[in-house]
Amino acid sequence: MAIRSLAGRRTLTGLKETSSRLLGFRSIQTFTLPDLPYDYSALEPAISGEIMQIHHQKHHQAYVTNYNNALEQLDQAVNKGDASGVVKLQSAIKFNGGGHVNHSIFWKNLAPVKEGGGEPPKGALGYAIDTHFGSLEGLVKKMSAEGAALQGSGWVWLGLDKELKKLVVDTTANQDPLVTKGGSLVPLVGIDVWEHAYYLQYKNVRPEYLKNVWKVINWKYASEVYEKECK
Amino acid sequence: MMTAAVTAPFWSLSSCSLLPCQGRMQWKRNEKKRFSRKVAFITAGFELKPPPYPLDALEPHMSQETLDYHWGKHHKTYVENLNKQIVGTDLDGLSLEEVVLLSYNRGNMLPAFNNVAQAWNHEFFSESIQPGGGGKPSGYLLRLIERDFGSFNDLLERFKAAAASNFGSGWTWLAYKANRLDVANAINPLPKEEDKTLVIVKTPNAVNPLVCDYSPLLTIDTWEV
Repeated sequence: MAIRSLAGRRTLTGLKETSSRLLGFRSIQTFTLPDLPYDYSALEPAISGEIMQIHHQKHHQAYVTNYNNALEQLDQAVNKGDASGVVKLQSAIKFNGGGHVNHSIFWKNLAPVKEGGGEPPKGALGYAIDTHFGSLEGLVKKMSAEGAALQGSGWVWLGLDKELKKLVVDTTANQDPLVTKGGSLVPLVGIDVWEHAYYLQYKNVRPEYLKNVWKVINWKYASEVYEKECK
Repeated sequence: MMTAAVTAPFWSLSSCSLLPCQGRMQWKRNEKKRFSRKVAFITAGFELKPPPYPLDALEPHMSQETLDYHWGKHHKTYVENLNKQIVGTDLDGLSLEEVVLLSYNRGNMLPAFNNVAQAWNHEFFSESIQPGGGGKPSGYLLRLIERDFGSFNDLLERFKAAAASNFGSGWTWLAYKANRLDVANAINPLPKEEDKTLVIVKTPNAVNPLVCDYSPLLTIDTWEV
């Protein structure tokens, strides 16, 4: 009787999930675009509302959509035992999945000034920054320099090496997440230096973007992550 | 026999080395040895060549504003920084292509590579497009396209797919590959006519197919700007 009532359901997804359960296949977990915890224009004048809207609604959304597609295809290839198909999908997964991961962190790394954006870190993270880089200014100078020097598209990161228990500054290319530079690296602050992150406002002057973005960096979130990982 | 055209992802091949090889590179190296570098000559440095058409001539496909930035800022910066970078060094006084090949350094790029390759790429790109362009190729090139891709429309579809899937910053090229196998740093010991094909090539950041001794025919800039 249960099967009759299931068969009566019109929704395709309901049928698919049920048949998946009956046949023992798990359906894959897909992803959705996370909401921003602030308005698009809330980070002005450091980052324009136009950039925030396009960056979130177009770029990040595209990564999410393409990531979900790649995961679907991966699921099918895995179930079919198509080894070369699985391997072929890896670059799309790394790129789009990385894009989703990185941007999800990025939105939390930013905050409007009136919600603490730009306020220097205190507590354990502040102390660690002073120890490793001399001062917050020293860290900012180093990250801005590395971000400006990055060729092509990528990210500049402040990360915590969980094993060595130290802060590191590093860059990644394209949408590679920070873990591709080291399995024990935890991203604390990431700054997107793809042209789409700044061009509409700062044009080709990436250093100017890097000078201003610090005014909206959310050190509270970075401190939370740091303290959680340091426990 | 129809040669299946390859979308050559040679970028995944880790080193495409400059071996003494068939083609024009060998000749250039020999030529360099014949002239004494001790002769004093004025190095003018590289110049920023303007595109061979006015900056608004590509509207509405490409705006004047785009060209103002692309040529007037990006390309200009590459040329200026390149000149500053190589003045007084071994790379000074060489042609643009020679600096590209030497600074590529078999994949272990010297600092000048980014600027010189981008300068070359942008100059080539300026000439790959033109006002009143578009349409179809004709003659020998069209025959090669039909041989290697099936049809001009097939080439367009493959090219667009390659460009759209070139992640991050990079360039997408139509190039002519002669006497080379698809494997990096392999010289074809028995070159045949069938080995000479047109290929679509995707390159990351500043890299271009000169470094693998291909002959670029046209390019599309797929950097975000």
